[in-house]
Amino acid sequence: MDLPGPIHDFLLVFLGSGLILGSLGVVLLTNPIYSAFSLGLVLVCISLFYILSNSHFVAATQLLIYVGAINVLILFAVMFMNGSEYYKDLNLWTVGDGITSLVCTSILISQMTTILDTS
Amino acid sequence: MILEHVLVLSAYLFSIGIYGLITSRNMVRALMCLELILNAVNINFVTFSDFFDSRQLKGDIFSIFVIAIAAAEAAIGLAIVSSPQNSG
Repeated sequence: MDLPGPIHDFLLVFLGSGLILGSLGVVLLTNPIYSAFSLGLVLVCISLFYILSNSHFVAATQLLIYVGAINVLILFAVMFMNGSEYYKDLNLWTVGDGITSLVCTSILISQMTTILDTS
Repeated sequence: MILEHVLVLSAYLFSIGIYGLITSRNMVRALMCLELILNAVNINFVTFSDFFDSRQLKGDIFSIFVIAIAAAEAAIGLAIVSSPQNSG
């Protein structure tokens, strides 16, 4: 999109921070309904990001299908499941969680070095 | 907009999606993290299409395919999750 430089950069930083916080909310929030709404925030931020990338058709498709159909379906499934036993899920940080976080951090670091090396 | 920043953002979404997919005890949360992974891939496609392919938009067209397939498998996955056999 042909915006002035600082407005474009400010919108990118805004949407990027929304994406980062929203994705952390999807994974780390204990209540599954909060997690589903955080996924909705992530999908809307991605759709606005597509508008900034001059892909208006994909942005409309993303908004219609992901937010309008898939997110609503996920909310239906979350409310359909018996929600009472999922609130009591304690935040026990198991050994598997630690190993997976190490593996995912190493995946992220290897991807970042590959991206920054390939110019 | 610098290309590397957007690709790093998509890599971050991908790794958060993989972490959530492996460590989630709730099946619906695993499907939500699978949607995160597919959206990270879509961001990559659309960004490359914006930067390098403004005439033919091949990345945009493929991301439409990915959105359609993600919708289909989300529907089937949620039907399996909420079936009577799986404590639904």
